[in-house]
Amino acid sequence: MSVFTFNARQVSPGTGIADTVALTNGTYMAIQGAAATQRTNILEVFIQGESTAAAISYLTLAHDTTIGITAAALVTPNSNGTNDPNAGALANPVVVGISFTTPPQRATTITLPKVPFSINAFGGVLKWNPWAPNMAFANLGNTQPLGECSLSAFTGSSGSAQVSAHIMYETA
Amino acid sequence: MSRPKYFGYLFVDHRNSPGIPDMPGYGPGQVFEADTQHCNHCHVPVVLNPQRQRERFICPKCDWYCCDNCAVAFKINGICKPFEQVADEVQSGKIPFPVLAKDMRG
Repeated sequence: MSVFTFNARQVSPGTGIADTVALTNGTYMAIQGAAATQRTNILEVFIQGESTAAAISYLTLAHDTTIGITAAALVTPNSNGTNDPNAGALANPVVVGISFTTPPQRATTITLPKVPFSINAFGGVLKWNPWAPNMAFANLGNTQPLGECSLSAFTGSSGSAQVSAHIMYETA
Repeated sequence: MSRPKYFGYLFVDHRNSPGIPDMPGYGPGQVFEADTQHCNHCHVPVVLNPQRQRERFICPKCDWYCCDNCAVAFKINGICKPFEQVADEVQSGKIPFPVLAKDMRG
């Protein structure tokens, strides 16, 4: 297993989007399973605010009940790669993206895991780690809802928020 | 497997930020640090509120912490199906897609 870091720079999460509404491309980070039996553990979420004025962003890590279809390839300064240069390549690389031809929609199901990562993007910093890799927020499979998760802003956020973030994950 | 002695960690630093005024610990100049636990049935990370008075639910079958949603589901359907079991069943091909305990009928 290899640990990857999915990094998105200078993202504007926007005013936020309600659950089960298509996310706006470029405002979210999505991690999607690439095989029916694939499991991906989220090992770290790090968000740093980069706004130049107060801007509260109600960022949320959640599963998606409509998964993204056809991810656009990441372009600089965004990235996705293994932490260890000696790491083995995945037979089915996890799909990551901030833009899909059909964007994902965050789950509204009250019995699905959802983690609020709210910060004021004017100087705020947030970091979360589980205590062990097998005790993390996890994707399972490649279908909705457990096959994809996304980090996106919920309704009521400030439109001027700008953040950079990374999500570390490990795929089994 | 016994219950963990360790926890996940949430760190929110608004020391150089106006913060979120209405949220305790998230105000201007504040740092919020908290342990997080995970639910054994759905794997949601839960920020443990140190001021919580209500008892936290420990599943009597898997002897592990469960979130409030899964706790209610267990009281209704009585099903304990740890996320690890769901993952094993999906990865072994026993079931085609994951179904959590709280989505099952007892």
